[in-house]
Amino acid sequence: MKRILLVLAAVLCVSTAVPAVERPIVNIPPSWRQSNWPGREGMGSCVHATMISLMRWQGRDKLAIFWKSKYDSGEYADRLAERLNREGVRYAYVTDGDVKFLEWAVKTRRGCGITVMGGAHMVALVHLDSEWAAILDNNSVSQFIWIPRNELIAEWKFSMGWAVAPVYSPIAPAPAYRRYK
Amino acid sequence: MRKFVLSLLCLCGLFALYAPCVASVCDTQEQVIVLPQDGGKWYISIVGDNSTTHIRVLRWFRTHRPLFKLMRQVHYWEIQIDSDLYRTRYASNVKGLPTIRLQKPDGTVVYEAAGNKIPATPDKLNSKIRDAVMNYDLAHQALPWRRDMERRCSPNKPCPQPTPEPKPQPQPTPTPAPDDGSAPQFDEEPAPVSEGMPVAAIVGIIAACALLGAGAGLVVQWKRTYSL
Repeated sequence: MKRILLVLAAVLCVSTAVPAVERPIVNIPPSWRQSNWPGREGMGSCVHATMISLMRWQGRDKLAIFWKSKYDSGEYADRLAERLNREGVRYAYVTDGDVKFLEWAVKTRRGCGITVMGGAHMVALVHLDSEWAAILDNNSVSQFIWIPRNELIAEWKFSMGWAVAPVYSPIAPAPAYRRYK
Repeated sequence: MRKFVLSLLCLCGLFALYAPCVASVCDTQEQVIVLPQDGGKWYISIVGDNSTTHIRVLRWFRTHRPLFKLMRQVHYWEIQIDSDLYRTRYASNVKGLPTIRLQKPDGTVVYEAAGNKIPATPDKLNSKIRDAVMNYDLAHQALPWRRDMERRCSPNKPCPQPTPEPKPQPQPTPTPAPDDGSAPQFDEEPAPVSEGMPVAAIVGIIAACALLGAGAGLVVQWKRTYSL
């Protein structure tokens, strides 16, 4: 009898209290967002800035600091893979515009870097659901940018379809919903 | 002999030069080919300030077999209060130190204990976490039933009144796959092995005796029936 009452009480609690899912799913706090910076080769460091933000999100502070101290300027898929291999960083990437990779990255709360603007820039994909996508642009880290899902995917595929993500454990979700602006 | 030793030394030197190159080629593949499908994995956070209790709890998760097994099934995080992670994500919501928190991927806190509410032994902690997960699972198993009931009931077709017969108990949660959001599995410390005959042997002996007895009875009956 006690067990039945307990279950009924739990049912009431669950049915009335809908847990708030963090939004965006990869809710990188402001202090962890790496802004773009000019590199030694005279180009922006958007790829590295994106990777640094994601490394911090996955609890790899020391790796993020190291990466920032060593790598900057423009980057492309093969050379980034070679550098990640050399430094022993676990990562995954695609260059064929496979949307499943983006869905995996967001579903597992890791996030990923994606190319935009015809391949000239990389941003972090921090949310992807059936309707919306959200990105963190390292040129403007003060807020997330929300875009219709289909538009974002079309932009990404037009931009060579390169996506890359560190593969470590993401930090725990917030126990209470908080939105960063 | 001298020539042999010199040749050997040269070979060793060549190998020493070449081996690091081989090693570097072999060890540089860090690309993850098979993406970990762990989107449903739960999270455990242990937040603390290196107090005696904090260190004790951390040790439990490394040495107590059921807790260690639990730790291996989740994203496990140890957070120190002097870290940026603590300041950014935990300082505003922990109720005391240390804190043990078990969450689902959507953030739902299934179990949390802080300060002197933390159980005194690892067995008790494991039991508390297990009970919390079980209660959470039971509530969510019942919820679809309730929703279906509400959908079927209407003013013209009132819901049936509870009957005096006991309601069927929810079935135990089946063994889940680790990445579908199901609860982690729990383990108990193995019970001490009792001395004496194992259960299977006892059952076997009883069955054998039963067969033997039945056989003997059949033989006796046969003789009685068909004896001249």
